[in-house]
Formats: sequence, structure tokens, C-alpha cells
Amino acid sequence: MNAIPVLAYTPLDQAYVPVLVMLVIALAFGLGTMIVSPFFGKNKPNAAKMEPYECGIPTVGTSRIQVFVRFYLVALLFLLFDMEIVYIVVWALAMTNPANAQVPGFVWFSMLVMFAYTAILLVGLIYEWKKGVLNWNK
Amino acid sequence: MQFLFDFLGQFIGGPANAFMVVVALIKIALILGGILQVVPFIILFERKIISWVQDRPGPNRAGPWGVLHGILDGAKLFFKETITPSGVDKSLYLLAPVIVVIPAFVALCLVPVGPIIEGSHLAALANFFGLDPAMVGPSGQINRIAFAITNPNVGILYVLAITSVGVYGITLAGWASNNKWSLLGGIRASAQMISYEITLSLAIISAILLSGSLNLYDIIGSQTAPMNGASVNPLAFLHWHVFAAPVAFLLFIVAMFAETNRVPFDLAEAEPELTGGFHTEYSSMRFALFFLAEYVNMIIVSAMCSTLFLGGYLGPVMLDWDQWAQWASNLVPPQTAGLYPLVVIAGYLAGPAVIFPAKIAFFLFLFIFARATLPRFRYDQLMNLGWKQLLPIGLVNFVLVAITVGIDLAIRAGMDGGLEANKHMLLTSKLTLGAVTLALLLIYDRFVLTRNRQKMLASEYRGLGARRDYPTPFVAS
Repeated sequence: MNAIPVLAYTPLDQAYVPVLVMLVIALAFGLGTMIVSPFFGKNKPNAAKMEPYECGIPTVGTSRIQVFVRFYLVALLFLLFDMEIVYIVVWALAMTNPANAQVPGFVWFSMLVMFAYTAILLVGLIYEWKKGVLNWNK
Repeated sequence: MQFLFDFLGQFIGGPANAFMVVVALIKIALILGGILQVVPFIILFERKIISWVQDRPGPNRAGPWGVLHGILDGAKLFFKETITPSGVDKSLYLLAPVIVVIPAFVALCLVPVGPIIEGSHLAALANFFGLDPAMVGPSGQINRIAFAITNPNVGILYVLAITSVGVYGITLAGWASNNKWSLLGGIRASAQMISYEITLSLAIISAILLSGSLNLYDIIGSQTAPMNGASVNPLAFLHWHVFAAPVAFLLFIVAMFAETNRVPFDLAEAEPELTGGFHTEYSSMRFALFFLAEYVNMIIVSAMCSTLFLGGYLGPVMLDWDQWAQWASNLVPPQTAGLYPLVVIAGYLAGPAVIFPAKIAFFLFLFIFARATLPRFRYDQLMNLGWKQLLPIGLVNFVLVAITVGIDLAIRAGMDGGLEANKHMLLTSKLTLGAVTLALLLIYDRFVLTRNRQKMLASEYRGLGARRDYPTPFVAS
């Protein structure tokens, strides 16, 4: 809640130049390692070695197996909650902004709105819970 | 040294740009180089600590006390055979480790390792290196140099965005490997990481609320204790966010274990079930990339936890280094000016060299100790913990922290006599509400979670065909 000083950060056009430098270094490091790796060490492939590893027994069937549909449901739930969290972040910055705090009643009103919002979130979560979306062993 | 930047500046639009890139390269070399040096020793300490827990000496063959084991493990991986199994999706298989490594490295850019140099200290530094004050100086083009590779205004949000890209790499590695274990590991990892990311975000929002900013230096700045002209403030640590939002701190710790796929959340690579999980089919240096990214990610989440809740590079006791420098330079009989800059430099380096590494080491020890002592979750337990326990706790905790901050803002808005007369009131209200939140969590655990746990265990035992009156084990206190 300290007052945010103007230009306390690296200006926007400068802030991401070092990130770009780091990105190039990371890309070179990662790709370089992946490409160089086969040239070191012995390289004696045989049919058994190239098989997908299934604890030593011959491979059974395809590896592109179907997965439990609940993984997909979790991804959907995550999308919902993550979007809601993005709203909360914006709200948090607005509420704690010293300029907004000068407006009488702003803080309490914004908190009231956010509590209503969080209550809706919780009701949604409880609904999913009771519907059994979150049950993994059924 | 100005001529160097003048020369380089001809090519990239001005000496200030050249200075920025050169400084960025120096910082990257120091931070990335330092971390790549440290990772083998973290692995050594991990093996040592686990072996002490299990009452055995641990690795002690290579070098005195086994210090060379970590480095030699890396060298061994370098000279291992690189196997690309048949049937893999070649391009994705080769791309996946790179997608895992890049976010780990890029997130390092944001870690605030030490304080920002500005004002008269920056002028002295520029003067020492013979730089143009119009380029680097309090009123120059570059008026702040941070001990972080970069310091954008959206700091913590950027870290969150970058680190969540890593999950793509793990999922793709699992899918592209053409292996059932890998696929299961990759799918498990993706579901687990996105589930716990919500808890992680809710914990981070508590810190954002308490500091009113996304910028990592502002978050640390809001944990700075006021000095009021004193040369030392022994209770500075009370201003850390961990005391105002203890539950958010605990949630962050649980979520950071899950995000880095470490025990007890290492279901993505659970050895007894999946042999190696998503990296089963990777060998040699390609496997080493996953391994490296995991340890770099551990360091990053530890650094973020220290930054958000433990004051980052701030020490538990605040010192006014200028005053101490003045005192030191008066100490030596011929009033030497030489001691003054030395003490100031020591003040700048205490954070990045001692305090911040110590905090990261604490969290790394926590990671290792958990691995040595805790059993792994079952997958349904993991999902229940994430969605049915941590998420509601996170939402309620968020409301309580918002109330804390609202009261804080109200005190600030309505107080007479300025910030100075009311600083104890501000701190006391924060600490009290933090303690209340923690107490509520303990009560919730004692009276709701524990009973649910007992009920669940009892029903599981009945499901296994045990007698109804069979005594349920593991009854938590």
C-alpha cells in the first residue's frame, strides 16, 4: 500500500530487452543440447532398444490410449477459475490504488462487490462438488 | 569506459541502449551462471540429506565428502547414449525439453536478487567507471539499476504467466514419447499443475493486496520497516507479509510443491507406478534438461516465496547502511573516506550474497526434507486436496486478507498525526488479523477436515471388506 512512485520500474520499452536476450540464450542452450546430445557417447541402436519401454516385456498395443474424461473436466474448471482470478487481480490493484482510496466509501463498496463475487464463486464450486465433478474415485 | 558504450551505441541506437544490453548480459552471466553452478551441489545435498535421514553416509566416493558427485553425474549424462525410440513424434519429442527449459530460464530474469542502486550511490558508481552522467546517473537516461535482470511493472503476473508455459512442455513430452507411462505422467502433470495454479494465484493475490502492486520491488518495498532516523530496527521482520497473511504463505508452500512436481506431489514421475513418468523415453542430455529445469524451477518458486512473503533480500533486522558507513569511517583515526564506500557496498551486497541465498536455501531444504520424509499422494487424494480443501481455504483466506487491507486503508485514510504517529496501530491490526486467520484455519482443520478425513478412511476400509467395528488407523490428532 505504499504510494506507487511514478516510473519506479524499468520503462516498458527497456524492461523486455533483457528478457529477449535471456530467451535467445535459453533457446540456444535448449536446442543446442538437444542437437549436440547424439554426437557424444556411443550410439548402437537395436530393435529392442528402440521399442517403447514397458518394463522389459514386448510392447502391447498402441501408446495413444484413451485417458480418463475427468482430466478434461479439470481443464475446463481451471479455465473458469483462472479467468476469475484475473478479475480478482485487477480488482486488487484498483482497491489498493491510493488515488481511488481518496474517493469516500470506495474501499468498502469495492470490497462488498468482491465479496458478492467470491460468494458466487464458492456457490459454483459447491455445486460442482455436489454434482460429483470433483470425485475422482467414482 | 564511456568510449566502449559510445562505440557499441552506434549500432543499436545510442550508448544508453548499449549500456542496457551490456548490463543485462553481465547480470545474466552472474545469475544464470551462478545457478547452473549451484544445481549440482543442490543435487549432492539432496542425496546427502536423504541419506542422513535414512541413517547412511550417502555419496562419498568422488572427492572429499563426495563433493564431486553432482558434477560427475552431469558429466556422466553427457557421455551417455542418446536413444530416440521408434514411433515418437520426432519434432514434438525434440521440442518438449526446450519448452520446459525456456520458461525456467526466462522466469529467472524477474527474480529480485538485491536492492536497486539509485541516487547518489548510482552517481558514485557511474563516476567510478567513468560513465557519462547524462547516460547513467540520478538525472540521466538510466537512473536506476536493479539487482534483477529486468524489473517490469507487471512483475509477479509475468512470472506466473511464464512459469505456466512449462506445463505444455511436460504434457507434450508425455504425448510425443509414444509410451503409455509417459502419456499417463504427462496427463497427470498437466491436470495437477493447473489445479494447484489456482491455489498458487490466490496466495499470490494476498501478497498483491497487501502491497498494492504487481511489481516485485514494490512488493518487497511494502515489507520494508520504517527507520525513523534510527540506525537499526531489530523488529523489521514483523513487516513481512508472512505475518499478515500466514495462511496464504502456507497455501503458497503447498502449491509450490505441486507446481514443481516434487514429493509428495510427484505423481507425474512416480517411479513405482510409471517408471519415470513423462521423461521415461528421454536419455542422456535430453533427460538432463528436464532435471535441470526442475531444479531451476525449485529455485524460482523458492525465490518467489521469499519475495512475496519473507521480504526477499531484506534481512530480519534493518540497518541504515549510510549511518553505519559514517560511523565506520569515523572509527579509523585518520578519518579515512575509504571505509565509507566499503560499508555502503557491503550494505548493497548483504541481500544478494547472504540473506536471499539463505532464504532460498531454507526452502530448498524444505523440498528435500519433504522428499525424505513424506509418502506420495494417491491421485484422487491429490485432486481432493487441491479442489475440495485448498481452493475453498484460498477463497476464504482471500476475503480475510481483503478485510485486513481494507481496515489498513481505513486507518490510513482516517488517521490524524500522519503515518508516523499511527505506525504501531497499522502493524498491530495487520498482525492481529493474520493471527486470527491462522487460528481460523487451525479450527477448521481440527473440527471439519479431520472429521471428514476419518469418515473417508472409515468408508474406504468398509469398502475393502473390513468389519464395521474395525478400528480405523491413522486417526489424525
